[in-house]
Amino acid sequence: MEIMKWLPVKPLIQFRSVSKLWKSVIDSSDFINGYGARHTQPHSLILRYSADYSPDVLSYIRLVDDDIETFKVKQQQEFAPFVVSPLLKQFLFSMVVGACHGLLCFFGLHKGYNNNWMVAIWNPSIRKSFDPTVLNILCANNMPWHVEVFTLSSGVWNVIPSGNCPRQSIQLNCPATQVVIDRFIYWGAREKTFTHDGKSTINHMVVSFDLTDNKFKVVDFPDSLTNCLTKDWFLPVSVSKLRGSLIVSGYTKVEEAVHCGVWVMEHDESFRKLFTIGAPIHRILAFKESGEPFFENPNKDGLDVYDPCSQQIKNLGISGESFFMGSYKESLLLLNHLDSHIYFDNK
Amino acid sequence: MSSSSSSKMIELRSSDGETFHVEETVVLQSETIKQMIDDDCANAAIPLPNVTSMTLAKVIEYIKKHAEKPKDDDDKKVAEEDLKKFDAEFVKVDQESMLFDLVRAANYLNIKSLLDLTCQAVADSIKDLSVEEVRKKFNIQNDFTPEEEAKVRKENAWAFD
Repeated sequence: MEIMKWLPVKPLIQFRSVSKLWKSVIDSSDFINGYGARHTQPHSLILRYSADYSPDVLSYIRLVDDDIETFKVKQQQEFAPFVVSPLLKQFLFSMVVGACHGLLCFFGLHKGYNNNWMVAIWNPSIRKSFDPTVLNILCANNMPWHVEVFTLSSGVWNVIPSGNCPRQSIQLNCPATQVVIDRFIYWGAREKTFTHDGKSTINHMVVSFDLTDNKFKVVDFPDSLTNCLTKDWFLPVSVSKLRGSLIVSGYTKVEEAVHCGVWVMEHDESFRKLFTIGAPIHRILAFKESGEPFFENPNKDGLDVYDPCSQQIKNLGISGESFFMGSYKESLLLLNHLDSHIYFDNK
Repeated sequence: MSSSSSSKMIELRSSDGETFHVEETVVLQSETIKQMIDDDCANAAIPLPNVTSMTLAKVIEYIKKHAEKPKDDDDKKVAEEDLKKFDAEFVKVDQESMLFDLVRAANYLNIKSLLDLTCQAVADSIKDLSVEEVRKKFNIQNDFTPEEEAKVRKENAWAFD
């Protein structure tokens, strides 16, 4: 049975029909959860984008983190896009909230259900999706935060006490970038503060949510970082992940030119500057494991990658827009859930 | 191969009674044997009742190769490449039963890298098989009724394209 953990997802799904014993082993939650812990999968990313600039056609492909030069070739040859789940096809509009453990989390407008907003989780490798474990965060201009958490095991929404939420002047950046690292979710956030003489200033920061005790925490930037950032409400910071560390990127001004500064957060919540990309990058989508960031070309020319050593930006030849990228691995999670099942109907 | 002749030799005895002498530093890759040595149970020959001499010889070939220490950084890169080649060749065995014996031995001796290597090799050899071929290979009785089997397949019909 040890050997089975080394099989890719597709043969495993086939081998459920070998015998009752095999089926019960593969379907067991021990096996499903343990499968994800397998360490042999190469570092890979999932890319969602509307190919050829047509917003109705969203493609999902897996990019294995090896030589960039082969991306172009591989995309056409072996990277058959993932087959989109029926539930997601019923979305009129959707955005990816985040990706972890081989799952993608979506938020969108569902065609049925009286055009309700819906959250969905999708496992591309076993082609299943469902309605899931979510945080519903309401933070509007100068309104107290209202946060509810839904877990599949409880099946109900629980309101998080306001004492565990950030102060109301803080707002998560929208559209939000978020990453999950260990038991924390991180978002980029901003706050408008007024000084005594009535002038206002914008502060950028990171907000974290601890999934174990359901508490938010504000991570302020040190002066060295704050002083680099443009104090502009509409030029927020974004968060991403590199080798398990939180990365903050934001707009910096160098002699009137807008650049993109990139910092890593160390374990003691101090920040270290990694590099500055000499272009007005909107946000970093993801990193190769070697530390090279991917982002959307500022001139709408598809996907770019930056090499910090040579300071060169390279175009990958994947044209399109509305890019999302997140870490990805094959996973069996959701195998023991019904496909396209709607758990909670919030009328 | 014996870089440090001063190293203590450990005696291993296979299930069919053959004895092997291996340097202690090499044999420590096995967590099971390391535990025995730590517990001071390794003064006489260590009996390995679950491992045949043929399998044990292969295992020793593997741990000896993996115990080689590169001299400097340049050498390290070459050695890594060399080790990769060695691993790839190592799992190309004539008889498939040997691969399964190696999985069992690696599991019993608790040599993680060898277990990973051999499990991956076995998984690679079965991942492209059909359900029927898997049953035949592992001598598994299909205990589904035709209806049950059809239902299981239908749950994830895409995997059978």
